[in-house]
Amino acid sequence: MRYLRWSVPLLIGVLAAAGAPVALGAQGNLSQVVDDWEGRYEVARDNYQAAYQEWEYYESRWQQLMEEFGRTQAAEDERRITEILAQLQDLSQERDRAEGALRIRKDEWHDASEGLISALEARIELQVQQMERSPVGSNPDLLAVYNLYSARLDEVESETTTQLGPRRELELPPMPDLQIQPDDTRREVEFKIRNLQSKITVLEDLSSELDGEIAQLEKRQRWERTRDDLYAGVTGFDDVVVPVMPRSGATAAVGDTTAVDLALEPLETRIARLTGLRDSVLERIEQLQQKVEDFQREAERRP
Amino acid sequence: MRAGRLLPFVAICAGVATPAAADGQIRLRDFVITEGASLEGYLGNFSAITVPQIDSTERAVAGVGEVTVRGILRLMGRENQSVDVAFDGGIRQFATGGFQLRNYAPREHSGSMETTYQRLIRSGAVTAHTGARFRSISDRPPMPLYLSPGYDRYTAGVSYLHRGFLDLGVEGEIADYAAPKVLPALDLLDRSSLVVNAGVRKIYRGVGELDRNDYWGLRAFSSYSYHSYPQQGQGSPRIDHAVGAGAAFQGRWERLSLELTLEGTRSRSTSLRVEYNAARLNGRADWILGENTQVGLLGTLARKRFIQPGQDALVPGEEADNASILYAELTRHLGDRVSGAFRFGWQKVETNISGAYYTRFGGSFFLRVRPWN
Repeated sequence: MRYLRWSVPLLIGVLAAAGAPVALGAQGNLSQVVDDWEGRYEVARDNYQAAYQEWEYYESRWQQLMEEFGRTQAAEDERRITEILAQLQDLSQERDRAEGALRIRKDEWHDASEGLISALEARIELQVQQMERSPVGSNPDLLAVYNLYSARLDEVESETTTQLGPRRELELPPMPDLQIQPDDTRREVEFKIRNLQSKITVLEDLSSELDGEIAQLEKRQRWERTRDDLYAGVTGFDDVVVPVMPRSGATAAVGDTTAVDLALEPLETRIARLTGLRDSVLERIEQLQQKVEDFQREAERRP
Repeated sequence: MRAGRLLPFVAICAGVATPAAADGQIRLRDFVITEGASLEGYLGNFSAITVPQIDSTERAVAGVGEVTVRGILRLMGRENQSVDVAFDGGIRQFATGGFQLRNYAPREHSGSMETTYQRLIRSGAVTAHTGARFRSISDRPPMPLYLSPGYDRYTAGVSYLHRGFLDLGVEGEIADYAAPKVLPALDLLDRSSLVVNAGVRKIYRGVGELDRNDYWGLRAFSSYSYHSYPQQGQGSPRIDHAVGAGAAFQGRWERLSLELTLEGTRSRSTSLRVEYNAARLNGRADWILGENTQVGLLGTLARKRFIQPGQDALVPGEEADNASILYAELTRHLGDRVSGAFRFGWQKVETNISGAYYTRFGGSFFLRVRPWN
């Protein structure tokens, strides 16, 4: 009985002593992961905010011109109407470009926030484990660190939720619903045509950008496949198996995986997704071109 | 025996495949047909227990032709789980010259299939895999042309990656060399193994950019291996217990990929004469030279020292002490679906005691076609 009474605390002590260095090592490692993602998060947020400011500028300018256009139409000031239509046309392209860039930056910020949240959750979990191992109140620093990371987690979740909203897949902007009204003049129809043409230009730019991105991913995929070809070539017929020692224990390479990157899509999935998007863009361009032709025919009939 | 073992494996694969097929999610991730021709030379005076044929020559040559088919089938790919089946099969024919007794014409058949299930969970990823590998060789030649004997090998394992930095894994393996009556020594190589490994890793990426493709990382790992050789040992089977530890570096940049793994092994056994310490360095590099050209390097340095002083009896399958292996391949992409590659290979395997060795070297040309790229 005497031995039993002492053996349990002794065993716990030994286990705690053995576990402490492991926990300390993991703590340092995870703190680095958190710091790493903090850096990415800051960069992504700053990029998004810069993109938002740019988009906001074009958007407010667009709204101002639209309001002025309404007033000028009522005043039947033909010269000013022409000027505003030209300005709107120029602005339309910039506004669409800014909107596209904003969507991309938003996506990147979402990625970074998900990474940081995962890293913080892991770090907090480790902190809780350490606190559970320590007697209550014995180490106030543990609680302070826990509070620090928890507060940061709340902050990040709140910041991303309020500023970004729920995550949405990269998708095409809605199709502009431009229709010819019965009382539209020829000039107004021509303005709508130019508007549609500017949308087509933006979509063509997007298509080229997607083509570039797809080509880059395909290049990387080709590279990786060629690497696999060499390895498969020399292992397929056991050319590298020599009579020295039995197959050693699994020595997996470092691997392209971190806690937060596990959610990353494989290359082929990314290629398929972007190809699908590019096809939708091309389809949209065709639809808009058809609409432009219809409008042009209609414009010729208008006074 | 072979068919008896094959059936459960096929059943497992079919079991995994059926629900995925029902989902209509099956997708061919990669499929490549390779045709190759090589010219090789062999030098040396090495002896292996499992190569009973003897020829007095120390120089031989061979012309080699081969065809292989390889691919990966994704049976299921959901947001947080996937099932992949990787398959690889091929045939290789040698036409040798330079042997004193006669010129041999070995033919190798090789095939493997591995099913991998991966599931992402909140704290990391769990991976389970089962695999089978078959190899046969007819008209196996004497040294110095060393070709591995035929076997059936089955593996199964599970691993867990926690938070991206801690990994744990266990893998079991059964290897049956299915010795023909005329070559009973091959049964000595029959083996059952269990390998447990654990590692920690850290991945580094530039903070200033969000390009997730480039990174470098380090992994430190250790392993315990249990190997049982039921046909070896007098009275009781030979059982080896090996512990290993090592470190790996891996980096991937825009035009360069590099992997280095250094591992030390301390193997102890129920048979004192086979106990050894060993070290192995594996390296792999790939470099993009231009738009359509790529160079790959793959090499190994292995060193082994038996513990018993004066150990000079050959150990089946482990007759050599040192190995140096290097392969270099220059690949030129000839379009989206076709590539051509020149490969140079060199390897030297030798013993410490007698100075016996064999060297294999040669050049190859491969044409690779991915018909459904």
